[in-house]
Amino acid sequence: MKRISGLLMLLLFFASCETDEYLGTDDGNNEIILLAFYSLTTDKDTVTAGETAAITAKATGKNLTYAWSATAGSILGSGNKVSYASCSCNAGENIITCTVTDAYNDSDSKGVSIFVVH
Amino acid sequence: MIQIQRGYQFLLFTRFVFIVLLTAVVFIDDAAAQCLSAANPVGGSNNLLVLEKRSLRFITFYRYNSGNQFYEGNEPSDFNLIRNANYNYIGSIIGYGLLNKLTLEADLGYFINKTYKYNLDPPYTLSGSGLSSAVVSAKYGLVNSNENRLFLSSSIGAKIPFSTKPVTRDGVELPIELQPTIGALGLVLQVFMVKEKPLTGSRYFATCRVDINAENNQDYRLGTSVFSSLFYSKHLMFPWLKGDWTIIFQLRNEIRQKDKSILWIESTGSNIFYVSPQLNLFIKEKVNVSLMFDIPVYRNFNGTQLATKYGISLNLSRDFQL
Repeated sequence: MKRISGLLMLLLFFASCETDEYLGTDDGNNEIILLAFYSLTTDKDTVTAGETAAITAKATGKNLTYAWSATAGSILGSGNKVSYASCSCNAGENIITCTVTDAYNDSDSKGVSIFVVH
Repeated sequence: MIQIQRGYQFLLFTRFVFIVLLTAVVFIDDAAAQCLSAANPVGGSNNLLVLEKRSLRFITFYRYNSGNQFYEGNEPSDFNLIRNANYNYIGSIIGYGLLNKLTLEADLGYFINKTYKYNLDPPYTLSGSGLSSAVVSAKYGLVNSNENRLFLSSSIGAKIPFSTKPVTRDGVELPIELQPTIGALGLVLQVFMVKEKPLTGSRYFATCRVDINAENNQDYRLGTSVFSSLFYSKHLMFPWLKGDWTIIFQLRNEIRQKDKSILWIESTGSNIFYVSPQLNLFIKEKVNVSLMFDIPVYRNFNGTQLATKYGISLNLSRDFQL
């Protein structure tokens, strides 16, 4: 009875431990890593026309690619860090969107607002 | 004697048709928003008059445009985000005389580049390229008075984008001003008037074009535009001048309404006047070569926008009788 209780307690102990979820391997026998898009941040929420703001995307996954777009203005650079250049034509709120895609074609998008003033 | 006169007049008229059509080659398909409108061409059909039945007209042209100064209203601005903007554009227009009073036209073009050089540290350059929207239209001859040497025609056409997807570079969508096409349908209406004075070798003509644009897939709509031009053309008849030369002066007004994307876009819309001198050479009564300069003489912008400094066009045209 004591042995059974002990075994049960041991089983309960291991079951309660947090373990990384193992997703298996892909066709190349590489471990599958889930895409996680943590944050999209800017160093300036408000800029005057002509100023630039730095935008950083933080994500993990396999072979990530970053696609950027803006409602107005220009995005300079590529990858997970870009600059946003504003002009007078996009005064007001402008939304910059980043879509991250991994090797398995999973994707996730986030947007950040930057206000442009004269 | 009368027959000779009529024959000569007809010859002058056909030459004039060549020349007149080339002067309107300032119009290239409108492809982008107006915020930095200096770097964007204006577009349309280049034939002013209808073609004879079963005749084919082929025009090819090249255009360069550059700008490096922002304007606020009608005054130069000290805003200097863009150090220089320029584009190189090539296009073709094919016209076919379906009937003596009805001509069909197709206008196609390609931006070799639309470039912004940013005034940043470090400097940065963005450049787009691609097909602009096609314009297909039907032109009808309303008035064709050989006696009065007065001709009037009008056309209606559709602007059709080759792509509705924005161009990207390294995963970054280019700003709307560098897109080769706005990716939206449009309606193009035009009126042309020509008045000849064969005895003096001079001509007067007027054109008006209205572009009405639909929204694209990103809910962006270019403002309605009205382009009006007055031309004076003079055949150069100097004893020392070899070849068949004509000089043309054009005064053009371009009015653009503001763009819209849910709300009106600030710093879009403008009223600009250009003077465009043009020199034509008619070779062997078959081919017309034309060189034209675009010089803005008055600008008034909504908000702050990049202005055109100058534009240059080189055009080549040939008619074929099928």
